[in-house]
Amino acid sequence: MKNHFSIKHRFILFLVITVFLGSCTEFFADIDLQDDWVVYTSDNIVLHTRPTDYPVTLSPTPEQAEGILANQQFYYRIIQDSIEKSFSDRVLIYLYNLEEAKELIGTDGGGHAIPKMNGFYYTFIPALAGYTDQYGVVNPFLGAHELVHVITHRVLGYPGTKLMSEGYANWLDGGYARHDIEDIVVYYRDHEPDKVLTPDDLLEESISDEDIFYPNSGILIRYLVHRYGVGVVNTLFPLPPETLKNRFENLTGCTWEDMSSHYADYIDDLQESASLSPSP
Amino acid sequence: MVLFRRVLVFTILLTIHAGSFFSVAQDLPAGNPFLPDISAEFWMYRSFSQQKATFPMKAGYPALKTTLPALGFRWVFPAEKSVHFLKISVSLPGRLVSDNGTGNDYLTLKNRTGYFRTGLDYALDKSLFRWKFVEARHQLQSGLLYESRILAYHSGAMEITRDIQAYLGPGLHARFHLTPGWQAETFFDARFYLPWLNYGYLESFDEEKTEVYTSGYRGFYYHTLTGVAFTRNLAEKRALTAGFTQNHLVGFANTEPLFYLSHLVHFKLDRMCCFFIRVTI
Repeated sequence: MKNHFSIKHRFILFLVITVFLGSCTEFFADIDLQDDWVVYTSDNIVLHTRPTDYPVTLSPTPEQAEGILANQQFYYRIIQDSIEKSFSDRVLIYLYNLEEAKELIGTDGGGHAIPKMNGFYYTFIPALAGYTDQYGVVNPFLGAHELVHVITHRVLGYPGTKLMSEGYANWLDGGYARHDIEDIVVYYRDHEPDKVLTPDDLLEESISDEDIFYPNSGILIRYLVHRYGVGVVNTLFPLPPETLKNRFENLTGCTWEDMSSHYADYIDDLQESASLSPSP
Repeated sequence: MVLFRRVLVFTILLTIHAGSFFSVAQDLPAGNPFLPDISAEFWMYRSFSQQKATFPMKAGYPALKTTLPALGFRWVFPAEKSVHFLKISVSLPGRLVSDNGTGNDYLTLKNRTGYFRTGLDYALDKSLFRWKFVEARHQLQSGLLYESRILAYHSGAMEITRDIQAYLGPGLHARFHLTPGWQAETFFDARFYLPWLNYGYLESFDEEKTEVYTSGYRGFYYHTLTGVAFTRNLAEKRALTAGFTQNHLVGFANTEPLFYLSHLVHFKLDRMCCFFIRVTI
């Protein structure tokens, strides 16, 4: 045996097989250890952006980054006031440039939250349609949507339904695809009534299209909060769909069917917006 | 193409393992590798965030990390044409810190965090083939992994997760007899944690230590271990081994046992590098 294989050959074969076996470990998840970030901090927000000389498309300028930071700090306070819960941990935001976002976070049209780690990933889109949100913020690069996910999951628990998870985010963001969610639902009511979802539709997630589900869920949560109080709706947040209705009825003394009927009237009464020009 | 290549390699490995059950088992190798041993281990644990949730997933920052000293003891039960291994390993509890990607911890209250891990691993080991100085062996593995993690945030809020998980999977080990006194080993183990064979419990507390959420969870995880080890034969059939194992564990946990994402309450995108020194006793 020694005559045919020197120690050197044996060691090379050992290394080859090691590399081969080692390559089998990333079937399901690659790892991304990029640390090329510029960090901006405020009291409660830590914003990570790509440096201005980053080789992949446009990065936020320092002025844009400071604006994003200030807006997110503003939303941070408003969210707590709206849900009547306190939260003081820092939220980490990772803002990816447009051309890299699809590969690195799975979308180049938005982002997603990781509440367990107090953070969210988002796409920096340099050129956006003009839009003023419900809080009067003009042309925000990032809305409140993902921040709502982080804060609500942390202070209310993990949502038991998509209605609660996305409903809170859309209620408190107030917009979807640079349009006011109320304007979108009114547009659906007047032009595509099939896209107006009932509370049961939303609870059962009978339609999963974001451009239908998100505005409808936001309006329903806004309605529930205004009619029954945010404390009641907060209690419903982590409940699974099979117990949510009963709990709602116990808390409010109102049947789900009565609420649904009243909600239909509420949708009918929404005022048409003169500023709407949606193509949702 | 990358995915295809990965699946192909994986399929080949599983086929090799599965096919070998029908081959004629060979005699145990000569030498001394099948004695009980004790190991001193050093675990470097990192738990990443789900940066990209669609398949194939991507793990990224922020990450939680800690280093843990650990001890392992392995019993060995040689049978006629196979060997049974039973190993227990246990870490000392450690403190977690987070890394935002630039080395800063914006997340944790270190002195209230905690991480503990212990495992019980069984392997049925059989010879696959022996060719000149190379000896390949394959294993059918099962075992239990227990993890407890206290994630204490800066505000004092906490999330505590505890889970016990059973796994099944194949292992492929190649031993190289470099010289009469030295051996090298490389190995690959794949462990599948099925949702019906594990249970975890999550508790979440707010800044006033009031419990805001509790839930059981069932995980679906895939865990791979690759490693290398070098063994020096000692007197009286003893051996001293040094090496490291790279652990990659990926998956998610729902409130119900499912193979797909539904009501996600926990995820694991963990990597753990384990350095060890092992001596037969």
